[in-house]
Amino acid sequence: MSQENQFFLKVENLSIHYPLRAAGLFSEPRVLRAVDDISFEVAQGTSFGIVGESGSGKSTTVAAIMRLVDITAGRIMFDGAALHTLAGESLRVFRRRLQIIFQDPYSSLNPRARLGEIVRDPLDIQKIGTDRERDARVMELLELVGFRPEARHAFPHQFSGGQRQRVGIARALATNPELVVCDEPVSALDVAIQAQILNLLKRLQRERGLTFIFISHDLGVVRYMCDHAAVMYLGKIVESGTTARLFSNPAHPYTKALLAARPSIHARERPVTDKVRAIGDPPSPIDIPPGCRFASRCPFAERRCLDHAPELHMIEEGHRVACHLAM
Amino acid sequence: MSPPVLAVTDLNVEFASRSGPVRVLRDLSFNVAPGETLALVGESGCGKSMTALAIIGLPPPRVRIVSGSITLDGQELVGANARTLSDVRGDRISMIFQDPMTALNPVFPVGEQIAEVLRAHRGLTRCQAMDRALDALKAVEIPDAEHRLRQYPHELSGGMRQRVMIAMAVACEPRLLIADEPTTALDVTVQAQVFDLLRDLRRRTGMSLILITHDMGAVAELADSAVVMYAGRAVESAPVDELLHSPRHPYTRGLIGCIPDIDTDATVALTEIPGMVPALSDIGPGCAFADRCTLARDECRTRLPPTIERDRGHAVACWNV
Repeated sequence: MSQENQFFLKVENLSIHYPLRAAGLFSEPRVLRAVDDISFEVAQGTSFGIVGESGSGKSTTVAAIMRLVDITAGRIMFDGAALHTLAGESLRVFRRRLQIIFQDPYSSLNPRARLGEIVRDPLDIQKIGTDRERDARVMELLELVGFRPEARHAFPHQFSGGQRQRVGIARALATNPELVVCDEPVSALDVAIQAQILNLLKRLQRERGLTFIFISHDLGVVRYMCDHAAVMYLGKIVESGTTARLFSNPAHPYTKALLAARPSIHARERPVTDKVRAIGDPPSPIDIPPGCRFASRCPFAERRCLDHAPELHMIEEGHRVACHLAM
Repeated sequence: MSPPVLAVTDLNVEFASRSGPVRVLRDLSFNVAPGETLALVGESGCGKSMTALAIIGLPPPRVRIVSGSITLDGQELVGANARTLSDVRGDRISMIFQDPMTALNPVFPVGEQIAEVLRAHRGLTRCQAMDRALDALKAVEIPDAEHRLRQYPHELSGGMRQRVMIAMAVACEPRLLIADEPTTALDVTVQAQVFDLLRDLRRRTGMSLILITHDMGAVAELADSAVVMYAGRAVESAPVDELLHSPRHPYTRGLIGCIPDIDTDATVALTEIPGMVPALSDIGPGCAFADRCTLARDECRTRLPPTIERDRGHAVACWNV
């Protein structure tokens, strides 16, 4: 495998900061550090999970990869090309290779467009194939996600949340992308429907060799879907590694707290004393104090945690953590 | 055994749609013992929230209780007059909702909103009520409660708002608290804190709790017993340990199997419940789950399976059990 294949997507020292209005006339302008100096790599054909709660920066990170927001610093390399520098026509052509499935299947489909038009849109925009070929492709895509051909004449409101999410998947696959970002694709769905969508995504990945970036707050979903994952907290990666190691042997107190907090059907078999609890609510991402960002909620925080931000360091092969207390 | 705090018996509720009445709850029965936590589990549209609204006497427009009984400590609530219900609500039965932002009034400080409950039900003066509101905020472990008392909902985080909702709901020490998806809008670490709080309040006050949820994980965390609902009907009810270890109804088995857990084998496909929930107006004479059930036979489509108690406290409505 060549170096490019090894790291199909490479995010290096990515920062996305938003300047805010100053609190007062003479005070310093404030900065919201949505994403702060993060790096990760994704190998082709694998799934990379990004886990975190609201405000962790996970959605901003993928928005940058999709080129939907501007980056402040860092590089995003995709298949050897500097994705963050592309513009105009070269960016439009590149977008074929990157697609996204959104969280909310209600707001992400145009209510006035028919299913066929929704799925065909990317083909029209990218000028892929002839008119006839595009029609045939739409039928093929709808069938792929479990619709009858007649469904192309229907409107989104005629379908349930799970069916709409299938439309979103068909649209994302229209241009035959190589990298698909799944931004909480099942969190708006009923549990019984979640399994249908997850199984479908897994099958499609296997059949088409897709690379997934999978965002979720649900550790069970990430464990099931992904090979590698990063846990984000207030714009930083606090721990990363294979999902197998990350969830069986978590090293960061935040990862431990996330695991302990997850309501599990095995809750009754777990001793209560094992549970690491995060204290209080996440602080504001504006004007983050020095030191570890999790320190204010960490049950193990020491003096040095408040003073010095821990660097991400390797604790075992392929398993990195940013915590002073993790060796 | 002590008599139940709440007894729901053969409850039938109808919605007057334009094309005729639709049965939204069918022959629903369950009891909640003192100090017990009962979970009502199911997907959107299964009738779990409708059950809660029927209990607190606030059915949505065009929805009415056709038959059945709801008793609180022996007092019948079905058919009770508006005055009686309004005395009961917020006092002996309280409810918290999924989204604390829309449930709180944005233009009043949270302290006043808690105090209002105490003034209405306990006849306290403004001053006394504010003192008690402060105690209520402390009881739900809100740090710096004196300061928070004077803040508006928008100044609080989601977790803090849900704590305020809980403080308001338990201010009058209700016999029964109904929590309708109380943590769905919250982050998982904050959700765990709210679960801890509910557990702790239940232990301190001895109140009973009805937890409405779609999440079997939440059921395992908090509930003693559970009623699994599908299309307006209870399909299985059992103590939670029993339900999780030996679910009998194919729908319950599907609900448990479709959740990926941390130790789920990632190489095996998740159990799918095929299809989707039927519209309540399209349900035939048989089992409402029949069209999605891999075990369904002819009988399932034509005859409604009766609810039969299989083991102590474990009742199932399925022809295949």
